Amino acid sequence: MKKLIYLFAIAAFTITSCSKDAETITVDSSKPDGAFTVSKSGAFVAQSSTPTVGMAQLGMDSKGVQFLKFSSDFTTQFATGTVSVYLSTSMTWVPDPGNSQGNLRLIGPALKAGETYYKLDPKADAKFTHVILWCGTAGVPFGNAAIK
Amino acid sequence: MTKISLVLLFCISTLCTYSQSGWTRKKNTYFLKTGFNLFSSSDYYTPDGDKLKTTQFNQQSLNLYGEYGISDKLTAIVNLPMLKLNSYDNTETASGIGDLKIELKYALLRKNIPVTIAVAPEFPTGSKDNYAQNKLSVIDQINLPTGDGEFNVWSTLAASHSFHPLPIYVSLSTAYNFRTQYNGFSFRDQVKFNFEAGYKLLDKIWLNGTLSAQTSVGKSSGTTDFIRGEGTEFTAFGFGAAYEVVKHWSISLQTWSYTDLIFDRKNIYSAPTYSVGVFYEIK
Repeated sequence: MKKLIYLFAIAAFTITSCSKDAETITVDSSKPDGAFTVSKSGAFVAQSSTPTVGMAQLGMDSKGVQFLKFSSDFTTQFATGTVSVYLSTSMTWVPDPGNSQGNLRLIGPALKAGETYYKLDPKADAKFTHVILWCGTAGVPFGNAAIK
Repeated sequence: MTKISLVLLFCISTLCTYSQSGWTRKKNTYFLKTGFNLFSSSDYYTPDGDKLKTTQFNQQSLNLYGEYGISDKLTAIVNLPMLKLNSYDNTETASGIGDLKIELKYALLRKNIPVTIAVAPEFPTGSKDNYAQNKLSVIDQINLPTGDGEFNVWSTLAASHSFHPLPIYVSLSTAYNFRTQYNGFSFRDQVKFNFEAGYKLLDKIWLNGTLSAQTSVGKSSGTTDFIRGEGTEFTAFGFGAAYEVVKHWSISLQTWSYTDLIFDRKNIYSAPTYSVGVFYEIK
C-alpha cells in the first residue's frame, strides 16, 4: 500500500492559469417589423470541413431598420463552441485593431441552426462584401458568404 | 511463462502506449505506473485531411495504469487519466478526469509465438462537455471535454515473439474499437494496427520503437467537436526508453508523433507528445 501512496503522491500536481481582458458585445434579438426587403444576399461556402450551409441576407424592414438574416436551412459546426458572425471586406478574416474603420465588424455569435436575425445598429457600411463565420478561439474559418 | 518473457513483458508494459502484446502476467504479479504526457500543437488536420494553422492547442495528462495477473493466462488492466488539462493559448484551462478503461487479456497461445485476446470497455467517466472561456473575448468559448462522452469497447488480438538469447522482441496487434453515441451523435468504429520492437541495451536500459495506424470504419454521420475523435485517422511512430533505478522501481521516457505513412492524418492535432513515467513492478 505504501508504494501506491508514493505513486499517487508523485501524481499530485496541477497547472492552471486564468486572466481576463474582455470585450463586450450586445446582440439585439428583435425581428423585422413588417416586410423584410433583401438588398444583398449570398450562399455560405463551408470551410475547414464544417457542415456549413445556408444563405446570408442583408436587408431592411418596413421601418428602415437594417438586419442580417440567416436562412431557415442555415447550419454550421456548433458543437465546438462559439461561432462568431462578422461582416468583412473580404472572404478572409483579417483583423485591423488599430483602425476603427477596419476590415471587420463583429455582429455576434451564431447560436443555433435555422432562421436568425441580427439587428444592425448602426447600419452596415457598404464596403462590407462578405459574411464570415469564425471560430475565434481556435482561429479557424467555418464558412463565408459573398453578399451581392 | 519463461524468464525472458517476463522481462519482455516488463518492457512492453513500461514503454508501450499504443501496442498490445502477446504476453500475460504471471499469477499474483502486478505492475503500477504513473505517467505525465505533454502535448502542444497548432497544426490541425481536418476530417477531410486538410492542414490548418490554428491557435496553439495544449494538452497535459496525468495517467494511472495498472496490471494484475489474475492467473497465468488472465491479466486485468486498468487505465485512468486522473487529470487532463485542455486549453488553447488564448483560453482558460478545462480540466477533469478522463475516461476509465478496464481490460481483461487472455492468453490463447503461450509457446514460441504467444497470442492474446483482450476486451476493454471504456466508460465515459470524463467530463462530457467542458467549456473553456476565451480570455480575450467574453462571447467566445470552446468545448474541450476531458472524455468523449460515449461508452466504447476495444477488442485486441496480439502476438509477440522473443528472440532469446538475443535481447530483442517484436509484437504485432490489431484492435477494433466499437463506438456508440453521445448526445444523439453516432461515432464511427475504428481499427488500429500496431507494431513494436524492443532491444535491451547494456543490460539495464530497454529501448523500443513503435509504429501504429488507425482508420475509421463506415460512413460518417457528420462532424462534431474534434476532441471526441470522430473520424480521427493517423499513422504514429514513437520511441522510448526505460531504466530500473532501484529494485522494482523504474523510470521511463517516451515520445511519439504522427505522419501520413499508412493512413493520412484526419481530425487530429499533429505534433510530438512527450511522456515521463515512474513505475513499480512485482514480477
